Amino acid sequence: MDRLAPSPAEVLDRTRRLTFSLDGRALTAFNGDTVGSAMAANGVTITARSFKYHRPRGLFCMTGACASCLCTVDGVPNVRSCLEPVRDGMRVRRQNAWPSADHDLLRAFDRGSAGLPAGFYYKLGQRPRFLWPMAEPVVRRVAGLGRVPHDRTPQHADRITLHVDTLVIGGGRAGLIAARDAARAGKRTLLLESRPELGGRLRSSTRPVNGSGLPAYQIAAQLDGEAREAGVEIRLQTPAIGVFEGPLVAAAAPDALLRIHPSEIVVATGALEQPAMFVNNDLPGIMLAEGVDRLLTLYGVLPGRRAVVVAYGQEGQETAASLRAAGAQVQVVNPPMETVVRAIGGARLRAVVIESRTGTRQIPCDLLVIGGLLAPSTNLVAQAGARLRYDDAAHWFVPAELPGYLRVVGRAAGQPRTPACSPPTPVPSHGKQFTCLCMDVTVKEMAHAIKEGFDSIELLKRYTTLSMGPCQGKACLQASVGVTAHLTQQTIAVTGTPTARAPWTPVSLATLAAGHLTPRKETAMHDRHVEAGAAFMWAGDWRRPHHYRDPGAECEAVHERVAVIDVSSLGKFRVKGPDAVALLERLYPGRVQDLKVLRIRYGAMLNDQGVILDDGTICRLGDDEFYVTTTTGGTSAMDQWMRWWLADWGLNVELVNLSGGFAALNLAGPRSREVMERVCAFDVGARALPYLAAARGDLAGVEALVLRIGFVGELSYEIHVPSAFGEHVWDAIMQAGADFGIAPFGMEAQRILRLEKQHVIVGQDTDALSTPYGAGLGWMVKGDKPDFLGRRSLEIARETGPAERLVGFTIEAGAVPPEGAAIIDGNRPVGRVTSSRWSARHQGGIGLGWVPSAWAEDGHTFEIVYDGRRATAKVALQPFYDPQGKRLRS
Amino acid sequence: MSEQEITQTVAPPEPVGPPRRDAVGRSPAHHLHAARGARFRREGPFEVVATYGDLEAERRATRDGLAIADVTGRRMVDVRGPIDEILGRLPLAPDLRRARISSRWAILISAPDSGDTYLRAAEASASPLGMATDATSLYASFRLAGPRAGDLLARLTAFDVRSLEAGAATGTQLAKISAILIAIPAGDGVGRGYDVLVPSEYGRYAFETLLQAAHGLDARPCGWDALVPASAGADRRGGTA
Repeated sequence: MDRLAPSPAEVLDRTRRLTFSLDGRALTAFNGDTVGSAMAANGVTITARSFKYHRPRGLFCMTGACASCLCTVDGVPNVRSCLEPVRDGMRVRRQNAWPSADHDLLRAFDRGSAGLPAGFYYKLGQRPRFLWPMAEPVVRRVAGLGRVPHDRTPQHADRITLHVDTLVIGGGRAGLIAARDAARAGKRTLLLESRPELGGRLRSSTRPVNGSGLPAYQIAAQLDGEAREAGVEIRLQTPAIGVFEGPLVAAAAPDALLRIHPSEIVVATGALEQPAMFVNNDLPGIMLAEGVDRLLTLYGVLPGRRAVVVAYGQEGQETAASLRAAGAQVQVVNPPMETVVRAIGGARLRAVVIESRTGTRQIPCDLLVIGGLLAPSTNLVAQAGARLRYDDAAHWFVPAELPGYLRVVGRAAGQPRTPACSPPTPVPSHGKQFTCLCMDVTVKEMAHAIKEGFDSIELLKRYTTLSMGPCQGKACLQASVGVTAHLTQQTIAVTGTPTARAPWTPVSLATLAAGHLTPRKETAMHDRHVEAGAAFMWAGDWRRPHHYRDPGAECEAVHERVAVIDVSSLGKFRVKGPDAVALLERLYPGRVQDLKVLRIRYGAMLNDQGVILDDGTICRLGDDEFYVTTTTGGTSAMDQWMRWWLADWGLNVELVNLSGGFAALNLAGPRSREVMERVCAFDVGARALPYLAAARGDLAGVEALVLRIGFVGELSYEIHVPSAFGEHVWDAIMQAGADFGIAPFGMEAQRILRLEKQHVIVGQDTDALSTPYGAGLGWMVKGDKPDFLGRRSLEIARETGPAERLVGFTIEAGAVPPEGAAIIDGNRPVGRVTSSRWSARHQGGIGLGWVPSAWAEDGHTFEIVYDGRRATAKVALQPFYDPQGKRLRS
Repeated sequence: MSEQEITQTVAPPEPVGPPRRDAVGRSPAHHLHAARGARFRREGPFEVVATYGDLEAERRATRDGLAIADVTGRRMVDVRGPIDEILGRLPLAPDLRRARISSRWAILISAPDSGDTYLRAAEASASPLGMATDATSLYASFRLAGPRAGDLLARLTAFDVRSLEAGAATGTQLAKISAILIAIPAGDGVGRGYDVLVPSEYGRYAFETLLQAAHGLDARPCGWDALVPASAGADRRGGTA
């Protein structure tokens, strides 16, 4: 390692040496080094190869802004080596090179760059078309940034929400002062800093600060201490990546995605150093002034012994002084009197060509420093909705109109107004001048794109990928705008900047995916289903048993013996209040008022067009109290629907959604009464508890509500108990029915059984146009009621009659058309199949489907087309099983 | 379906009172606790986690880290209507926690063995202004106790839990589901915490999610015994109600 003498400003612990590997070669570092500083100390000049042309790139900004030092660290690609701390045993690989970064044969793309014009991807993909499928794998292999690691688990990240009074973005001088003052004023204050240390430019400078007599880095330490003492919460290596409405600020911490809700945002993101335009402006050995300062001051590394400093501003002069103090030979170039027109070198800078009024001269050097080309960092300000205006003095865009919650301080606001230089323009010379180092976009490519008509900054960005790389414009925005203005002969103000969007700093997909959750609902008997070998399926958010064994056998258990299904996912509501009857009378097209206590009625809720929204049962529990059930899928929607109308009508009713609070089981089959008699302490006989009646009482020691309803064609009981006792009741029923051969049945068996009875499933057999008349549910509409939702629309529908009817059908042996198959008249589709299954009872395919009303006659035949074949079906208006409902009512 | 209305009436059966002794109520996450080696005990009609084996470590978590306890089983009453008026009519009771969520919604929480006492009292207070419903099975509830409880909630909800004063409650989204948060004041040797009430159908999901999100927060699942101050002795109700 080649180091300068220890300095009090450095961040190194020179007593502790670390070892890491670079492309398999062992290197040493000090504790506190970053991978980038350690590479520089070990004489490594090429840190990466470029995205497209595989040109050598070296340390450039040392602040995490550019993409010139992206490496793969311990398998993680695209790590900014200039900010990544060295850890003992770390494995670092330089990216995008073959066979090695030092000798990359793919550099041939640079030599043959004439074949890679602007819009290369668009053109290659268009003509000739056959070429792209062959070219794509090659392009993807040789271009790009790193390789996606397939052999490692993504880093775990959390999603953390923080609420603060003041959020300060940027931990430089202005940010620290703003945070300190806010905290001292009693505000809960959070400060975000993207780098590993606070202080911004002050931290890497040893020069005395005017007026204080202290070196800059000590001022930074002092401000740091004051902010912490005031109670500021500080998060380092945590860049803010986006500002959204709210305001909501997203930030990427090393192990978490932060969602910050501040009352006030202070943007103190400073100014970003920008590169200059000249031929070969990307060679290793060309650096920005702050990067040089950081290497010298924080890490004790001299990046070059013969330096040329292009001093666009004070920063350049100060860096030149620091380099001299460190022992380098330094020549200062002062634009605009002198201009760098070309850098010369291969794997490393060897010389620069300077042009001035007196002529052209070549200066041998191994370091070229660009110092003082500064652009206020306003991307986050623009994301927050601020309007930017072009400032003649700053030669750049500065914040103008800000939202009330936003303040911009320091250099991000264009302060202090030090003399600035206009954005760089290209030099009239042959050779590659890069406007965008990340994406290898040259001035020549931009000129071609503009000739092709992409002459606005937004179009250029999309066509050339300008500023779309990992730096997101941090290291190329000013050059991009300056060159565009120059080539289109517009002003900078007219050229403008691309729209600011998140993420301002690249963020890993693992971080973006942080906190991803998939909520799931499970019934109280879930573990019993698992034990019984259930195959689960999603029903909305619910996990429900699809089947336990052969669904056909489960159907037979229902028909022949007794079986039980978990229907806890049904929506269940308690409706109570003096106006409960009035509410339900308006919500349902059927009558509610005359429903007796502990009696049940089937009902469907309609919207104001008379379209069926959902269905279920209404059980009267008292004069002013009802227990209403809805479908599983319709629970949330019906909850909102009922509350919406309740509020609108101003009725005196209270509504509680009890859906998860009650476990529900449907015990069905000819032996179900016998099972019930074994577990119930009340009479469940046909006289005491007939079809469509309800009872409340002790069931296996638990207070239960039992509804004599069912949709599977057999005698059945729907049992509702507090869900905490669901498993207990399930066990009791399974035990009581064991000697009858009781078995659980799943949703697939239930679908078959329902279809055998031609029971409509709302949402499956109906759609957004289905009225009760078309769906065969017209009997439930009581037109003589004073009013109910959909009444007016239904009156019209009844007069005109439905154009389509939902009918049952049987189909020729062996055929079961898929749901959604077209019902045709000749070759014209006139309807569709909504439900279809094979029925063992019927020994054939059965289904429900929408057909023209004229076809809704028993025995009418029609054709269904699916899978390239036609099958003949026959209308069956009566249920396929027990059409008189005798078994159901037994 | 054809229309069938039965007009015959039958007298409703007599109420049968509380569940029999052999009827066991369980949390939705019961089997997850069992898989973690939980030891259970009865609290009224409920089987609850007493401890996962290391009571001292669980107590430490409530003081110094983060304890996650399934406290489902407490009696809950959902009260709707003009809440201030209804709650004002309720008799004062030291073992009854009143979680006022909005001006028209509150949850009353009491010990598992408190029977229907507070349900009846709430029904009487609510009538005819509102409605009281037994909500014991409606929610799975989890106690987050200890100084890191807020950090865990920050990972799961956008709500600013620090704005919730001790004893206050709010409805919010937590882990992408609806939840009720109640701030619990610190007790004797038991750190300040929060009760998280979620619809019981999400109980298993919520318990798993709380544990997963708590990584790195010195968290551990704990039983009811750890939530009771050591000084409380046999009176275990105060810690969880």
